[in-house]
Amino acid sequence: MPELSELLASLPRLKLVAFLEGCSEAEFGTVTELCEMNKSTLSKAMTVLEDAGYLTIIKGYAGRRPKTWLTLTDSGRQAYRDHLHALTVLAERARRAPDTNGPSAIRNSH
Amino acid sequence: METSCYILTLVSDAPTPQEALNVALAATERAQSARARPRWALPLIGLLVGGDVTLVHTALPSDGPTNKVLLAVALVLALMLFGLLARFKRAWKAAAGIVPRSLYDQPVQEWKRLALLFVSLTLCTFAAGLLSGWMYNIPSGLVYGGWTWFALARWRAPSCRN
Repeated sequence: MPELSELLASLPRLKLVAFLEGCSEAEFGTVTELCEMNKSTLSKAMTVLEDAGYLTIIKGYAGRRPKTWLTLTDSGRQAYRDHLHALTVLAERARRAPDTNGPSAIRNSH
Repeated sequence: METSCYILTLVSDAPTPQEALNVALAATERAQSARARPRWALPLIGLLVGGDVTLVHTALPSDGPTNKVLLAVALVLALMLFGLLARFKRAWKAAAGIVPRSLYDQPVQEWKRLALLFVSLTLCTFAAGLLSGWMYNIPSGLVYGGWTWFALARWRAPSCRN
């Protein structure tokens, strides 16, 4: 059974990593806009991911405006792929399992 | 994280695996479909610079009528290059901060970039003493064109620390 990453269990962090998986680098403002996240949420998510070594943060300037570029590291990319694989397996199991045992049933029962 | 832990988190408002999958795939799709720096521009600009250098090197040594035609073609290529660079800059601004993934788009430190230019220029100067005609013109065009491509592939409009 593939392991889920605890770090990527948070939706904003998962969204950010998934977004960066689709490109080489992205600018902070672009990520907030395209991922529909507010700056504070994104900032928290990227700090946690940077501490875990999943993300590289590059700060610079466009003229006088400060800009922040985000890049997924190799370990971040690998962790995301593993997490995605684990999610796929879980989703597949949930689909196959009878309704009484499926995750949605567990959630609905509460 | 254990699967059972994940299922326990489902008791709260956490997304189901399928929902998390959908969110992740949608985010990746958004990044891939976002307007990004045009990739076609880089090889084309490299080709134009290389072609220009080769033409100028071929045309300059003597003053025949063919050479004037070659210089005129080189001038047209240079104008096309400036037009393309202007368009490239506009497209980059419109892209608003996304760089598409590529094998060669890892950021390179400034000194490495300058060292590469220095090595290329030194080699070209050294080769110019040993070779002549097409033996020199074509390789020098390839070196200059290749270097331009290489340098532009690492250029990001909002400057960064590298």
